[in-house]
Amino acid sequence: MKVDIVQKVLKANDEIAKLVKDKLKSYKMFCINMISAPGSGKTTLIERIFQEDAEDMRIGVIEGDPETTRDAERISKYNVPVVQINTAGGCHLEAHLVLQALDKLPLGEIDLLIIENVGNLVCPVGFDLGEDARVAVVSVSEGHDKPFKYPKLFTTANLVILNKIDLLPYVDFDVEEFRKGVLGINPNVNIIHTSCRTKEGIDKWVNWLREQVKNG
Amino acid sequence: MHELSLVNSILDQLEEISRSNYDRKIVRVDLKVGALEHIEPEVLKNIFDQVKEGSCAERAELVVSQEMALVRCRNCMMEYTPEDSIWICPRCEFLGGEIIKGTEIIIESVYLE
Repeated sequence: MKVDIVQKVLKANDEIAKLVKDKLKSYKMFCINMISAPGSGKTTLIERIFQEDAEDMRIGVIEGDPETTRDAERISKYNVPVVQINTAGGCHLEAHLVLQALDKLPLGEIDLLIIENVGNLVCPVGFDLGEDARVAVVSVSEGHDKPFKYPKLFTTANLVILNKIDLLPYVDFDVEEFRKGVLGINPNVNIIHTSCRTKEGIDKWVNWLREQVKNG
Repeated sequence: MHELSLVNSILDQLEEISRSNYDRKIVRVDLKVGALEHIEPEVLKNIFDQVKEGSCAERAELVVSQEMALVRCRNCMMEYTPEDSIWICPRCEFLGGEIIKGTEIIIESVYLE
Protein backbone atom coordinates (compact mmCIF):
# COMPACT_ATOMS: atom_id res chain seq x y z
CA MET A 1 0.00 0.00 0.00
CA LYS A 2 1.40 3.34 -1.05
CA VAL A 3 0.99 6.34 1.26
CA ASP A 4 1.79 9.79 -0.12
CA ILE A 5 3.00 11.93 2.73
CA VAL A 6 5.29 14.73 1.42
CA GLN A 7 7.06 15.45 4.68
CA LYS A 8 10.29 17.38 5.25
CA VAL A 9 13.00 15.05 6.48
CA LEU A 10 14.27 17.66 8.96
CA LYS A 11 10.78 18.37 10.32
CA ALA A 12 11.76 17.24 13.83
CA ASN A 13 14.79 19.56 13.93
CA ASP A 14 12.68 22.47 12.66
CA GLU A 15 10.16 21.88 15.44
CA ILE A 16 12.86 21.91 18.14
CA ALA A 17 14.42 25.01 16.54
CA LYS A 18 11.06 26.70 17.03
CA LEU A 19 11.22 25.84 20.76
CA VAL A 20 14.74 27.33 20.94
CA LYS A 21 13.51 30.46 19.18
CA ASP A 22 10.58 30.85 21.57
CA LYS A 23 12.86 30.41 24.57
CA LEU A 24 15.36 32.97 23.27
CA LYS A 25 12.55 35.38 22.60
CA SER A 26 11.10 35.00 26.09
CA TYR A 27 14.50 35.96 27.55
CA LYS A 28 14.96 38.76 24.99
CA MET A 29 18.14 37.22 23.62
CA PHE A 30 19.37 37.83 20.09
CA CYS A 31 21.08 34.76 18.66
CA ILE A 32 23.55 34.37 15.82
CA ASN A 33 24.75 31.13 14.24
CA MET A 34 28.30 31.38 12.84
CA ILE A 35 29.07 29.03 9.98
CA SER A 36 32.37 28.63 8.14
CA ALA A 37 35.00 26.16 7.04
CA PRO A 38 37.41 24.97 9.76
CA GLY A 39 40.18 27.47 10.41
CA SER A 40 38.57 30.55 8.87
CA GLY A 41 38.74 32.39 12.19
CA LYS A 42 35.34 32.08 13.89
CA THR A 43 36.72 31.66 17.41
CA THR A 44 39.19 34.52 17.00
CA LEU A 45 36.41 36.77 15.64
CA ILE A 46 34.44 36.01 18.82
CA GLU A 47 37.50 36.70 21.00
CA ARG A 48 38.03 40.06 19.29
CA ILE A 49 34.50 41.14 20.34
CA PHE A 50 35.57 40.90 23.98
CA GLN A 51 38.76 42.84 23.29
CA GLU A 52 36.77 45.57 21.60
CA ASP A 53 34.72 47.92 23.77
CA ALA A 54 31.61 45.73 23.79
CA GLU A 55 30.70 45.80 27.47
CA ASP A 56 27.29 47.26 26.67
CA MET A 57 26.27 43.82 25.42
CA ARG A 58 25.96 40.85 27.75
CA ILE A 59 27.21 37.97 25.65
CA GLY A 60 26.99 34.20 25.99
CA VAL A 61 28.67 31.66 23.73
CA ILE A 62 27.89 28.12 22.62
CA GLU A 63 30.89 26.38 21.07
CA GLY A 64 30.26 23.44 18.74
CA ASP A 65 33.18 21.14 17.99
CA PRO A 66 33.57 17.51 17.03
CA GLU A 67 36.03 16.97 19.91
CA THR A 68 37.90 18.85 22.70
CA THR A 69 36.98 21.88 24.82
CA ARG A 70 39.78 24.06 23.47
CA ASP A 71 37.51 26.72 21.97
CA ALA A 72 35.39 27.01 25.12
CA GLU A 73 38.61 27.39 27.15
CA ARG A 74 39.72 30.21 24.86
CA ILE A 75 36.39 32.03 25.33
CA SER A 76 36.15 31.44 29.10
CA LYS A 77 39.28 33.59 29.58
CA TYR A 78 37.03 36.59 28.96
CA ASN A 79 34.77 35.71 31.89
CA VAL A 80 31.68 35.19 29.77
CA PRO A 81 29.26 32.27 30.06
CA VAL A 82 30.25 29.59 27.57
CA VAL A 83 28.99 26.06 26.90
CA GLN A 84 30.92 23.56 24.84
CA ILE A 85 28.93 21.06 22.78
CA ASN A 86 30.97 18.11 21.58
CA THR A 87 29.26 16.39 18.71
CA ALA A 88 31.41 13.23 19.04
CA GLY A 89 32.63 13.52 15.49
CA GLY A 90 29.34 14.91 14.17
CA CYS A 91 29.74 17.52 11.47
CA HIS A 92 27.11 20.07 12.56
CA LEU A 93 25.02 21.27 15.48
CA GLU A 94 21.35 20.36 15.72
CA ALA A 95 18.56 22.24 17.48
CA HIS A 96 18.17 19.69 20.29
CA LEU A 97 21.83 20.16 21.26
CA VAL A 98 21.32 23.91 21.49
CA LEU A 99 18.13 23.46 23.52
CA GLN A 100 20.09 21.36 26.04
CA ALA A 101 22.95 23.88 26.08
CA LEU A 102 20.53 26.72 26.95
CA ASP A 103 19.91 25.03 30.32
CA LYS A 104 23.56 25.56 31.20
CA LEU A 105 23.54 29.31 30.46
CA PRO A 106 22.38 32.12 32.77
CA LEU A 107 19.30 33.01 30.73
CA GLY A 108 18.04 36.47 31.52
CA GLU A 109 21.61 37.72 31.88
CA ILE A 110 22.47 37.47 28.18
CA ASP A 111 21.55 39.92 25.39
CA LEU A 112 23.50 38.24 22.62
CA LEU A 113 23.98 34.51 22.23
CA ILE A 114 26.71 33.52 19.80
CA ILE A 115 26.64 29.96 18.52
CA GLU A 116 29.85 28.88 16.85
CA ASN A 117 28.88 25.95 14.67
CA VAL A 118 31.17 23.06 13.75
CA GLY A 119 33.59 24.14 11.02
CA ASN A 120 31.88 22.95 7.84
CA LEU A 121 30.29 24.76 4.89
CA VAL A 122 27.81 22.04 3.97
CA CYS A 123 26.21 20.16 6.86
CA PRO A 124 25.31 22.97 9.34
CA VAL A 125 23.37 24.88 6.70
CA GLY A 126 20.24 22.67 6.63
CA PHE A 127 19.87 22.58 10.42
CA ASP A 128 17.98 25.55 11.83
CA LEU A 129 19.15 26.18 15.41
CA GLY A 130 16.47 28.78 16.16
CA GLU A 131 18.90 31.63 15.51
CA ASP A 132 17.81 35.15 14.55
CA ALA A 133 20.67 35.68 12.13
CA ARG A 134 23.28 33.65 10.32
CA VAL A 135 26.86 34.79 9.89
CA ALA A 136 28.95 33.17 7.16
CA VAL A 137 32.72 33.56 7.58
CA VAL A 138 35.14 33.07 4.69
CA SER A 139 38.88 33.66 4.91
CA VAL A 140 40.84 34.89 1.92
CA SER A 141 43.01 31.77 1.83
CA GLU A 142 39.93 29.71 0.90
CA GLY A 143 39.31 31.17 -2.57
CA HIS A 144 36.78 33.60 -4.00
CA ASP A 145 34.63 30.94 -5.69
CA LYS A 146 32.92 29.86 -2.45
CA PRO A 147 29.52 31.57 -3.03
CA PHE A 148 28.56 29.38 -6.00
CA LYS A 149 30.01 26.24 -4.45
CA TYR A 150 27.96 26.65 -1.27
CA PRO A 151 24.97 28.70 -2.46
CA LYS A 152 22.61 27.63 0.29
CA LEU A 153 24.86 29.08 3.00
CA PHE A 154 25.12 32.42 1.21
CA THR A 155 21.38 32.49 0.48
CA THR A 156 20.55 32.08 4.15
CA ALA A 157 23.28 34.37 5.57
CA ASN A 158 22.44 37.77 7.08
CA LEU A 159 26.09 38.80 7.30
CA VAL A 160 29.14 37.63 5.37
CA ILE A 161 32.53 38.25 6.97
CA LEU A 162 35.57 38.14 4.73
CA ASN A 163 38.32 37.43 7.24
CA LYS A 164 42.13 37.45 7.23
CA ILE A 165 42.26 40.33 4.75
CA ASP A 166 45.80 41.09 5.95
CA LEU A 167 46.79 38.05 3.86
CA LEU A 168 45.42 39.50 0.60
CA PRO A 169 48.87 40.46 -0.77
CA TYR A 170 49.99 36.82 -0.47
CA VAL A 171 47.01 34.98 -2.00
CA ASP A 172 45.16 35.08 -5.32
CA PHE A 173 41.82 35.96 -3.75
CA ASP A 174 39.78 38.28 -5.98
CA VAL A 175 37.72 40.43 -3.58
CA GLU A 176 35.56 41.90 -6.36
CA GLU A 177 34.69 38.46 -7.79
CA PHE A 178 33.81 37.25 -4.30
CA ARG A 179 31.62 40.29 -3.66
CA LYS A 180 29.86 39.87 -7.01
CA GLY A 181 29.26 36.20 -6.26
CA VAL A 182 27.86 36.80 -2.77
CA LEU A 183 25.57 39.63 -3.94
CA GLY A 184 24.54 37.63 -7.00
CA ILE A 185 23.17 34.98 -4.66
CA ASN A 186 21.96 37.27 -1.88
CA PRO A 187 21.67 40.91 -3.01
CA ASN A 188 20.70 42.30 0.41
CA VAL A 189 23.40 40.71 2.55
CA ASN A 190 25.96 42.78 4.44
CA ILE A 191 29.63 42.07 3.73
CA ILE A 192 32.32 43.08 6.24
CA HIS A 193 36.08 42.76 5.72
CA THR A 194 38.08 41.89 8.83
CA SER A 195 41.53 41.01 10.00
CA CYS A 196 41.79 39.65 13.52
CA ARG A 197 45.52 40.27 13.35
CA THR A 198 45.49 43.99 12.45
CA LYS A 199 42.00 44.49 14.00
CA GLU A 200 40.83 46.08 10.74
CA GLY A 201 37.03 45.92 10.48
CA ILE A 202 36.54 44.48 13.98
CA ASP A 203 34.69 47.68 14.94
CA LYS A 204 32.30 47.08 12.03
CA TRP A 205 31.70 43.51 13.19
CA VAL A 206 30.97 44.62 16.75
CA ASN A 207 28.77 47.48 15.53
CA TRP A 208 26.78 45.11 13.35
CA LEU A 209 26.17 42.90 16.41
CA ARG A 210 25.24 45.92 18.52
CA GLU A 211 22.69 47.02 15.92
CA GLN A 212 21.12 43.55 15.77
CA VAL A 213 20.81 43.41 19.55
CA LYS A 214 19.33 46.91 19.64
CA ASN A 215 16.80 46.20 16.90
CA GLY A 216 16.04 42.71 18.27
CA MET B 1 28.52 13.38 7.01
CA HIS B 2 25.10 14.84 7.69
CA GLU B 3 23.71 11.86 5.80
CA LEU B 4 23.58 9.92 9.08
CA SER B 5 21.47 12.66 10.71
CA LEU B 6 19.14 12.59 7.72
CA VAL B 7 18.80 8.81 7.86
CA ASN B 8 18.03 8.95 11.58
CA SER B 9 15.37 11.60 10.95
CA ILE B 10 13.89 9.50 8.14
CA LEU B 11 13.75 6.42 10.38
CA ASP B 12 12.07 8.39 13.19
CA GLN B 13 9.38 9.50 10.77
CA LEU B 14 8.99 5.99 9.38
CA GLU B 15 8.44 4.62 12.91
CA GLU B 16 5.70 7.20 13.38
CA ILE B 17 4.04 6.31 10.08
CA SER B 18 4.28 2.59 10.84
CA ARG B 19 2.76 3.09 14.31
CA SER B 20 -0.19 5.03 12.95
CA ASN B 21 -0.79 2.23 10.43
CA TYR B 22 -1.23 -0.70 12.85
CA ASP B 23 2.55 -1.32 13.01
CA ARG B 24 2.70 -2.41 9.41
CA LYS B 25 6.24 -2.77 8.12
CA ILE B 26 7.61 -0.37 5.55
CA VAL B 27 8.91 -1.83 2.30
CA ARG B 28 9.84 1.23 0.27
CA VAL B 29 10.52 4.92 0.84
CA ASP B 30 10.61 7.50 -1.94
CA LEU B 31 12.86 10.42 -1.10
CA LYS B 32 13.41 13.57 -3.11
CA VAL B 33 16.71 15.36 -2.63
CA GLY B 34 17.57 18.78 -4.03
CA ALA B 35 20.72 19.03 -6.13
CA LEU B 36 21.98 21.97 -4.05
CA GLU B 37 21.92 19.93 -0.84
CA HIS B 38 25.32 18.27 -1.38
CA ILE B 39 23.90 14.82 -0.71
CA GLU B 40 25.22 11.75 -2.43
CA PRO B 41 22.28 9.35 -3.02
CA GLU B 42 24.50 6.24 -2.89
CA VAL B 43 26.00 7.28 0.46
CA LEU B 44 22.52 7.95 1.81
CA LYS B 45 21.30 4.52 0.65
CA ASN B 46 24.32 2.73 2.14
CA ILE B 47 23.83 4.39 5.51
CA PHE B 48 20.10 3.70 5.42
CA ASP B 49 20.78 0.01 4.79
CA GLN B 50 23.12 -0.12 7.78
CA VAL B 51 20.91 1.79 10.22
CA LYS B 52 17.52 0.28 9.28
CA GLU B 53 18.32 -3.07 10.98
CA GLY B 54 15.77 -3.86 13.66
CA SER B 55 13.47 -1.00 12.68
CA CYS B 56 10.05 -1.01 11.02
CA ALA B 57 11.90 -0.35 7.76
CA GLU B 58 14.26 -3.30 8.08
CA ARG B 59 13.23 -4.63 4.67
CA ALA B 60 12.66 -1.26 3.06
CA GLU B 61 14.36 0.03 -0.04
CA LEU B 62 15.27 3.71 -0.10
CA VAL B 63 14.60 5.17 -3.55
CA VAL B 64 16.26 8.55 -4.01
CA SER B 65 15.33 10.91 -6.82
CA GLN B 66 17.23 14.12 -7.41
CA GLU B 67 15.47 17.41 -7.84
CA MET B 68 17.34 19.57 -10.34
CA ALA B 69 18.54 22.96 -9.26
CA LEU B 70 16.65 25.89 -10.71
CA VAL B 71 17.62 29.52 -10.25
CA ARG B 72 15.93 32.70 -11.47
CA CYS B 73 18.04 35.45 -12.99
CA ARG B 74 17.60 38.70 -11.08
CA ASN B 75 18.04 40.75 -14.23
CA CYS B 76 15.88 39.12 -16.93
CA MET B 77 13.91 36.67 -14.70
CA MET B 78 14.86 33.69 -16.86
CA GLU B 79 14.83 30.44 -14.90
CA TYR B 80 17.78 28.15 -15.58
CA THR B 81 19.69 25.19 -14.17
CA PRO B 82 23.26 26.25 -13.41
CA GLU B 83 25.62 23.85 -15.10
CA ASP B 84 28.88 25.42 -14.08
CA SER B 85 30.30 26.25 -10.68
CA ILE B 86 29.58 29.89 -11.48
CA TRP B 87 25.96 30.90 -12.01
CA ILE B 88 25.68 32.97 -15.17
CA CYS B 89 22.33 33.55 -16.86
CA PRO B 90 22.44 31.91 -20.31
CA ARG B 91 20.27 34.70 -21.75
CA CYS B 92 21.69 37.94 -20.35
CA GLU B 93 24.91 36.72 -18.66
CA PHE B 94 23.93 38.29 -15.34
CA LEU B 95 25.81 36.75 -12.41
CA GLY B 96 23.96 34.91 -9.68
CA GLY B 97 20.26 34.35 -9.13
CA GLU B 98 17.55 33.40 -6.71
CA ILE B 99 17.21 29.73 -5.82
CA ILE B 100 13.83 28.40 -6.98
CA LYS B 101 14.39 24.67 -6.66
CA GLY B 102 17.05 22.30 -5.40
CA THR B 103 17.19 22.69 -1.63
CA GLU B 104 14.50 20.34 -0.41
CA ILE B 105 14.82 16.98 1.28
CA ILE B 106 11.39 15.43 1.33
CA ILE B 107 9.85 12.02 1.96
CA GLU B 108 7.37 11.82 -0.89
CA SER B 109 5.76 8.49 -0.27
CA VAL B 110 6.03 5.36 1.80
CA TYR B 111 4.95 1.84 0.84
CA LEU B 112 3.54 -0.34 3.59
CA GLU B 113 3.47 -4.15 3.35
